[in-house]
Amino acid sequence: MMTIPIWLFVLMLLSIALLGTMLWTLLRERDFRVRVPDLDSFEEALPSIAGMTNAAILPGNRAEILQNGDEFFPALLESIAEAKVSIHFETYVWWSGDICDQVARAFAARAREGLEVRLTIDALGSQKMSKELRVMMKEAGCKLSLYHPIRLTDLGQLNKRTHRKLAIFDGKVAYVFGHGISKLWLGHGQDKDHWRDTGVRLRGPVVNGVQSVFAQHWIEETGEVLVGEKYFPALEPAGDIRMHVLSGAPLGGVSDLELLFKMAIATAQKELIIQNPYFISDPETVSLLKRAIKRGVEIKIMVPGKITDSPIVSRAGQIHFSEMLNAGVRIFHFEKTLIHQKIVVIDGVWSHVGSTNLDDRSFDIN
Amino acid sequence: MAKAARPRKPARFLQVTYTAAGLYLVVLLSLALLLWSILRERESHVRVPDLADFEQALPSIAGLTGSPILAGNSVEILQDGDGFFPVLLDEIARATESVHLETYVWWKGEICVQVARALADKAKQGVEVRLTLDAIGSNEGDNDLFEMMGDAGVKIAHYHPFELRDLGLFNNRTHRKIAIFDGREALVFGHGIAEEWTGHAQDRDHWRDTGVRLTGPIVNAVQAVFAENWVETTEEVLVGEKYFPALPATGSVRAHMTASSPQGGVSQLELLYKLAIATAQKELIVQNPYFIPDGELTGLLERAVERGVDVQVMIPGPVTDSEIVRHAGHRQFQDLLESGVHICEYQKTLSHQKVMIVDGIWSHVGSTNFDDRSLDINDEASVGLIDEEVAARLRAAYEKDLKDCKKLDAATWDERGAWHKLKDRLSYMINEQL
Repeated sequence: MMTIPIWLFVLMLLSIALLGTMLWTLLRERDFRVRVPDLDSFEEALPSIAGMTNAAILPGNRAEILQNGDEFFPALLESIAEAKVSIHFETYVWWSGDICDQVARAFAARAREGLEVRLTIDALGSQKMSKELRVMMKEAGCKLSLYHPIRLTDLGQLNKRTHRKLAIFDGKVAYVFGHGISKLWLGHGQDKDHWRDTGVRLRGPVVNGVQSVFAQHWIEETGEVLVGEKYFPALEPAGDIRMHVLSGAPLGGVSDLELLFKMAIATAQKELIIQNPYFISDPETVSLLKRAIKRGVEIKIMVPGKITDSPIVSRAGQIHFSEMLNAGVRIFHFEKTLIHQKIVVIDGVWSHVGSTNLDDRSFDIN
Repeated sequence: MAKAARPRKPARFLQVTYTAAGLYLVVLLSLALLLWSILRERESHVRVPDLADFEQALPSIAGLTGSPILAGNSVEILQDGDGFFPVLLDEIARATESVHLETYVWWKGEICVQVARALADKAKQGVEVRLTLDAIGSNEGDNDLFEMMGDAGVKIAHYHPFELRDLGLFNNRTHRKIAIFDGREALVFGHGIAEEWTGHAQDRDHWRDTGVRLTGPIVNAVQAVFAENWVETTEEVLVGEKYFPALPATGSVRAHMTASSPQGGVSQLELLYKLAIATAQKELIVQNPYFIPDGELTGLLERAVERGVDVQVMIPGPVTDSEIVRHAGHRQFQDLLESGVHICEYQKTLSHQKVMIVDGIWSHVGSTNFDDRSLDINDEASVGLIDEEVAARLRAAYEKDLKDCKKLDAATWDERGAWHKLKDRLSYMINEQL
């Protein structure tokens, strides 16, 4: 036992309380509601959505949709083989299996030929990645950056992962997708070991935007600035689609992606289709959906059925389902396999593909 | 948590077990560690390859700082209060749909009354008037004026007022200074709404500052920056053509709007400054009232000189609103001067402008100081302008300012006296918060 004065004891309690409060105020989810006025057409909302989410709308792009592993991996490997200058790749999931070896060998082969190969891999998402592959790629000359490695000095950043899934070739062709590098994403969504997912291959001015998103995490981890026409070439129009790239990196503020989804739901006028594997809706989203129904918008939501990689998320998502069903939202369970794609289609005009799940982790943390 | 034993009679002392005391220490230290790991400045050492010309770096700078380059704008430069306030008041008077103003400083004086009346009049006419005021920067402002505006229908948002549940955010201020009218015209400036910013920098009570008036597609981007803090404080989303109209080209200036709200990540404006210094090829001019480069920025400036870049820095002289800042900046001066950076001090009044001009092509105007508070803590807004004529006009103003400057000299600088040097050292020690 030791004896301490009361004032010291009080001081000790206060210091804990102060630190605790500061920590809480920094980490707590800042409640965020959006109030969006009624609009005549969804088209009218696009400049606002783009502006508010800090994503310029760029005309003149071309997109090819890549369904499931059967379309995605061959295209990816082909692009790796055809690249001439630089290969940039960012992913969260890199597990194990033949496809991982194949992709790693493709990267290594190009690095040996003298191409610049840069890989940003989330330190947590790639924990299952085999060490030999990593060594093999490094020895071949690939520059590999692990995003937010588990370090004591970065304890507070530990929960912040990169969930982005991107690839950019020569600064001219970009992939944005939901697939992970794992055999679970192979095939064509035929059974529970072959998941359903969607990606896009892009050409045109929007590729500069995707390159910027890659460059952000790259400079954060390595300090290397990607400068010059090699990475940011002047890009001629390649089609007639208007596009905007969004990236979320929240902490302390409103996530652009959360804003995007809420504004999209709030401004849809005819039809809203959502396919997402992790659909946890907060009361705010539910009320936005209900108001959309009242406006006469037809809403269809597709979520995983029995096959899911996270039963907790499935249960959590269902909390608001009966309320939503009663309001007239149509909800479908996809039964064949895990539906991992993240897609939003509005009024047949605007669609959104990428890595963003409809839950608080994607909105507020990653 | 420390477990208190029953206190003995004069209840001035408590008995605690060693385990409880140990436990307390563990909890305290882990909380402190967690907090530090979130708040600590994450270093971002930038490495930039050699470049043929600065123009090449522009897409990368814009891309990395999340500020797409938009073509087809026109720019008017607004010097000092005499160039700025009449334009501000005129824009407010001409607006027909919406007036948006965000500022850090709102102090006292005749000009505050004038601006407040103009905003209130507009609101009474049915025009939407939104005003974002930093809760600290506007603390000295006249409450009657704020009430008068509120009564007239001006929507006022106080940014980050002191609230216990937002303790961790209290240090994060909005230092942005922007105004948007009908979504079609915008001002980006360094001026505060206070008597000090009126006049034409004629004496120490009338400060020197620079702003720009913008039209063209870039105005959408300025509006978006305003909307960001507006939605954060009020939850109101600004949607529709009223705020984000389709904007035709009005000129030939390419522009990109950079805004940062750092908090746990790399600040976009810090990156912007570092990239601009690292990629300049011929000439780099920096005019900034709070110039406290850290070790890395100093290194980048020195390497620029080695590359053959003519680096010129203009900072306030005897007239400054912060002695500590002035001294903290001095800490790196010896190194900078010896490596060949030209530094001069503006003598006439406080030079509050934040201007950067690179290679006579790209200029940058806004709210962003050259110190850790602007680069790592506050919300800032600045605009990059790619146009030789705009750069030339800003450069001409710089040349004029040079006539009222005293140049620092490496040889005599070292002889500034022990007391001066000690103040420099002590001031620099707290530089992260300045």
